[in-house]
Amino acid sequence: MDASQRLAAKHREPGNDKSYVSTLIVFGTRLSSSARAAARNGRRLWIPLSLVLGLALSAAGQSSDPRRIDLTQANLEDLMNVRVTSVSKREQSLARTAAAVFVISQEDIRRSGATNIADLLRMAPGVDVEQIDANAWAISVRGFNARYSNKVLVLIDGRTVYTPSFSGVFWEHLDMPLENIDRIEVIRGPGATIWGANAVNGVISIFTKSSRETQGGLATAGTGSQTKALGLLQYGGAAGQSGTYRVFGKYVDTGNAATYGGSEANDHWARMHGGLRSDWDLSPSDTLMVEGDLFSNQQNQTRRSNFMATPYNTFFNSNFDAAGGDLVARWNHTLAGGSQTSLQTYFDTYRRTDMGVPEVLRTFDLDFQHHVALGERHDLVWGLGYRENRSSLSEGYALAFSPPSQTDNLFSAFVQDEIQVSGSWWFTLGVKLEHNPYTGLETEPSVRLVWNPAGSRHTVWAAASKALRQPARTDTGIEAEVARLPDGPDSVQVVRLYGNPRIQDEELRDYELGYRSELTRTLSLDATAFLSFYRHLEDTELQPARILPGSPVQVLLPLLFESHASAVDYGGELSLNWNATSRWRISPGYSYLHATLRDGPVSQGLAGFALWSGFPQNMFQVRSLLNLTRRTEFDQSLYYTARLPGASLPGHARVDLRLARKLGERAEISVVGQNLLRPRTVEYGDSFGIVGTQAVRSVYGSVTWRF
Amino acid sequence: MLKRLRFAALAGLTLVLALQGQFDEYHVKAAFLYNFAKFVEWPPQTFKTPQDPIVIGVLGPSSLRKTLEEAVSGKAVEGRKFAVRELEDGALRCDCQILFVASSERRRFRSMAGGLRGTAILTVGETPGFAAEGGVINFKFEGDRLRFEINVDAAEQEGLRISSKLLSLSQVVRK
Repeated sequence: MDASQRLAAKHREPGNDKSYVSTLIVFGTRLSSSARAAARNGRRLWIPLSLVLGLALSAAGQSSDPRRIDLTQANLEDLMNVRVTSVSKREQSLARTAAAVFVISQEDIRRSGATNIADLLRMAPGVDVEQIDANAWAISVRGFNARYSNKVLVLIDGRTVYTPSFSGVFWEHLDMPLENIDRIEVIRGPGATIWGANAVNGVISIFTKSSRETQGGLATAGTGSQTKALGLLQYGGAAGQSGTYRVFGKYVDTGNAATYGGSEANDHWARMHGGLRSDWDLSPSDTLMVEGDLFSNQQNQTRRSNFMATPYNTFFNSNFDAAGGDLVARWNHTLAGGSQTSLQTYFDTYRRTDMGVPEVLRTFDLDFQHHVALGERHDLVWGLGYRENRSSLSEGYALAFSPPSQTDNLFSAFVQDEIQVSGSWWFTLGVKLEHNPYTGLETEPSVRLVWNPAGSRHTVWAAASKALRQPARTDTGIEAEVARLPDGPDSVQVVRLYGNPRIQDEELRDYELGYRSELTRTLSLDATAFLSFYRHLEDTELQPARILPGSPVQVLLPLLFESHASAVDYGGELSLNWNATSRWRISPGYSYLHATLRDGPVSQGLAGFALWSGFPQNMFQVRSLLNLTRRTEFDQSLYYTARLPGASLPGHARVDLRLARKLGERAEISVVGQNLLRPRTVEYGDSFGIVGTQAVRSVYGSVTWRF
Repeated sequence: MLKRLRFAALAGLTLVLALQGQFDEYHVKAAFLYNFAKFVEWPPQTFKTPQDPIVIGVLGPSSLRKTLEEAVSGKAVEGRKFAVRELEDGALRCDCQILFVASSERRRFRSMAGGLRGTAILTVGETPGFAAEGGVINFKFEGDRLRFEINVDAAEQEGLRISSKLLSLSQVVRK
């Protein structure tokens, strides 16, 4: 079972969910192989024919309402080829989940016009996505947003993609053909009982489609004012009698945005990505999935030599590369009696040079899970995990790590039981045990309660959970020059930040209350409120000054990471989905966060220098998906993000528009405008030595062809 | 004759064309249920008279019963019409030939399963493990297309004869 499904596992309608471990599927080898053979032999002939037919089809399609068609007249083979929209499946599966979940569907993704994962996440209410420059983002959920946000866990097909050097995500490393994403599940609030440390403020889980669903060819080409080149070539086919595969190559070239002054910035980036996925039915009760990627990024950034602006700062353009790859394998097995096991392993590696620090990371992970129904009332999931991170961070111009190379081992075990107390009440208890090299053994428990009577359109849920953020290498071993302050004609103060090997886990105790409802047949609502108590939050404490000899004389002001800060946050998120007509869907969302960050009682001097505290108090969005005709889509989105508390930047709004038209059954052309409100917008400003740029108004066009 | 052939071809083509669209899950499942009835033979004592309808029991929301009723109204298999019944709360048995169990009602089905055994009911579910747990037919998704698995041992226990055609299109589960 994919990691991110564990929380919602029991509430899914797993029969409809291909990523769920199920009794799967060796689909009639006879049928499918002969059908495939027929398809192969006939393909050449069928291309021109199907083009002609496609036109005829569309004409026929327009005149017939699918609901009026008497499907019982179709025979079984035809029925098996009918494409089914299952509006019910996701909503039903979510109805009983005791967590604040928002699902970004493939349709949302396609119609957003976004060209990268970061921009897709804007669609989830409560997720703050801020562009620092064209290839760096600050993304967080429920507070603490910065370039190096460290309280959200991100997974792709069960593979953790956060970086153990700072427990955050290099968003520009994440990319895939967006057409291949099945859905993105965004869970706001802690998920630590299932996913473990770092699933503190949220879990973002990306699921790609099975290769069964991406058979045939796909080619996309696009160009525009900001997205200079966009190209994708993919092919999916059969692998033997019971397997399928897809392979793809993708290239994206994004041009420079604008500096604060409005001139052309230096934040161009180009990305190449190749990948494959293969899915196999080994037997009626065994499935195997193998997935791999290789990517290479070339990025430009404007940097300053220190974290903080000072007269001694120098600005320079830095061009750097990042490259990496991963290989994931997952074996799902259904035991007699219907219980399901999943064994997953992956290897992931990247190298990059950030702030002059050459970094190499290698991760190996092994994960086992068993999902079993006990009696009529208990639904149990338990699992064991092991992960090894080997990281090497050599000295750079602004910072260094000590020790430069390190291997960390993580061991974990979890169990969660969902108990049906009565016809309408479910009670879920779970705990995760985790051992890490910094803070030893930890427990992360949670309790969840759901009320959802059969046939009711209303669901109420409540949850109480504890989550931890484990120290990362940055917290324990960094040495970074923060600022240089002139102190007289021949002396200068140097502020330097030091990691602390005795740093504690950051701890969250979180209480949530949620309500979901289908208010009418066309309008649904999801509302959540939360109250969060953080303690042992990381702050920086000024240590006694030291004099470093030399000319000019340097007065060293050491700052040490400590765990003395705390915070009380409360807020909520609201999202609505309104199918105004069969052709028009409108989805508004709103989120509110009130954060009070407190220094610890023993703090002094520069303490509480709030490294991680930025988050807008209010965010608002409306998306509208409109089918102008059967073949023409016109989609609009508006995102508004209020001013960050204490920051000087004003709030900012963003409008994206997309117009797309299908040409026959196989081709589509689209035009997308992004950031249309203003010629240039500052979203975030500078962050940790990166000099921010302005997002610019842009337009691109693209053509998609399936073959 | 030629005219009739042409008409049939045309009707067939229209249907094929129409099937290119996307359909609601339960409309398609309803059509599958109708087809299952064509390819399953119940034990001779199941029907008292040749006019007895094939009763489809529904464990699930009322909307589902309506969808099924619309789909099979006026239809017949070997002269038998269809009737659709929603199972009331707490019912432990089902006076039906086909029982559709929505995924939301799987727990209820488990509590009924003992009472249903040996009553020659074609149970149809839509949850993983349904067939492995003794259900006869189970729907599953392969992408956005529907597939089904058949537990041939369960069918045999219920005295149901499933045609080889249906089996050839299904994934066979044994238990």
